[in-house]
Amino acid sequence: MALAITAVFSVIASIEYFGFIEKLTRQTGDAMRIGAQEARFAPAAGRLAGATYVGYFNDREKGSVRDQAAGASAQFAMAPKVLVHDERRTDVEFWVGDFSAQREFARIGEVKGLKMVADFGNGVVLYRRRPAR
Amino acid sequence: MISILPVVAAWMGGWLTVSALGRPGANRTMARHLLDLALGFALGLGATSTLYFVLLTIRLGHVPSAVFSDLLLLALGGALRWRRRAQTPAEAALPPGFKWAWLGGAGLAVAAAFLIGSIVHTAEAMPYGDWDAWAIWNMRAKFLASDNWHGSISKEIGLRSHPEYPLLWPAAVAKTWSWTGSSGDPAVPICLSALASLTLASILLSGVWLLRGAAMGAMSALVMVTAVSFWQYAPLQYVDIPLAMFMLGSLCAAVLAESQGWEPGLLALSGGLASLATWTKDEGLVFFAALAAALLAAARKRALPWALAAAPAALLVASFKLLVSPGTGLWGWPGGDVLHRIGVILRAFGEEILGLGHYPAHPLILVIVCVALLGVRRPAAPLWPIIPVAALAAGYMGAYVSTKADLAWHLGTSATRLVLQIIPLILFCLFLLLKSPVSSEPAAPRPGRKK
Repeated sequence: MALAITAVFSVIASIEYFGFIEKLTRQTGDAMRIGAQEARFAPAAGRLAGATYVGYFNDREKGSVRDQAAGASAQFAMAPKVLVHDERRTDVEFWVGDFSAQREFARIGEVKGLKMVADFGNGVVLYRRRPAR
Repeated sequence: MISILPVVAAWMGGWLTVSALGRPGANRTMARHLLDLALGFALGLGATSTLYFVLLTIRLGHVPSAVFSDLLLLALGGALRWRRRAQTPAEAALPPGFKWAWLGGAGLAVAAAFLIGSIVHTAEAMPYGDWDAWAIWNMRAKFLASDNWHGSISKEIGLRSHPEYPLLWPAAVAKTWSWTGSSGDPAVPICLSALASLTLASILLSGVWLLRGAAMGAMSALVMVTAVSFWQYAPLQYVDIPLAMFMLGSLCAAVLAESQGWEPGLLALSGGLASLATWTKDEGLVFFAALAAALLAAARKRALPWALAAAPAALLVASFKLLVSPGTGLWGWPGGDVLHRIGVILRAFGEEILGLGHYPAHPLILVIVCVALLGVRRPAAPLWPIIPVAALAAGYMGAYVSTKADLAWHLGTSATRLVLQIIPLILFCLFLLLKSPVSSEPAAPRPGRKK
């Protein structure tokens, strides 16, 4: 009897959960669009093939959830390069800017002591640190 | 598809090794074959991944490390099988038969079909899994599949990527990527995660089947598939299911070893799998220590093979934690009212347990039904496997009491997964203690092959 009950209820659960997970997945999906992030950062990663440490900054509010999510997804896309978030680091030559909208990329770089090297589109910009005078 | 072929090499090596362990010929039933396959996957994945990481650290390079680690286990497994082939199989008592056991098999077949369908559907919609999958495990795998493996333990990758976590799973993914030069291909973690989920269910099914009969094995697995969290996390590429796989495999091998007079090969397998749990997630450390203590108390000197087999990975984990891992400031004395914190934690776990299923198909209800209808064996034995499971539960409580993070946040982001880790262990222990439904005399022991 116990076996029949567990078998019947597990089949009911399986059908129920299949629909439940399908609905859940349809609602959330790839919310962070990780696949798209890989494609977005690919030109920058290709250009920096020899670099192990690359600087990174974005235009989200510092410490916000969006900032953390953007940083984490950029790190996933750029791995095995280590993204350095500390903008005071002068030992890092190349920096990647991650922007959520069109901005004055060159001007933003200048404020940070960086020279714009390439705009790869989709808000990904490559900079190089200006040599210290 | 070719990118997942190396998984087969590691699996084969593990299967050859596992099937050569234990008393030869004992219980050569379908249950034993299924258990060999399931434990073979766990051992093959874990052992080759661990070896891959060690070879990386001695700068062998990621491609040679991947090839060498898989080939070494294949050779070792082949040699063990060759050595065992000539030994006379021993006779062993088979568990009682039950003519309605096929009902359980039919239920499991339906559940497995829906589960696989659900995994495939989720993998199509979320090929990179959920946050922890890409931000922690697969991202660190990308470092381990390159010449910059140090990046996987660098604080620069961000504290939310947990560079202090052990590396078995990322190394397993990285090793498979390295074989085929397909670094970043989501097919690999998807495939490994799905196999780990199916392996976990198979270990529960076949382990209880071997020890208590097909009906009991089927019931334990059927109850587990009514846990909705199992369905949620099976396709999300988190490491909690692989951790549960190693812990359950270790406990199952230890109980089987006891049933065969503390058989050294099975004890060694248990030790190896327990140590691989510690290299998967920190929760494995608590389970490892408690299982070691329980076996020392139950088997005394005969537990030596367990310790010897556990030593290599345990040493690696100790070295990693003491010398390499960047550490975390998460644990300490948070202050405040401890009793209040314990109350909050217990309430959260109570809610997790109540939310484990969609009523009336709820694991708790099915457990109550099984206990009420089957009853508890007299004498209730073995009781020692409960020790590591209880210790793991106590470890969870201790971790939440001592977390410096916001308790509500910490519980909200992890309690579901901790319950998922421990459910298979609880079900395994429970179904060992229940009376098996019997409709026929135990099957006669099979005669062994002669030399």
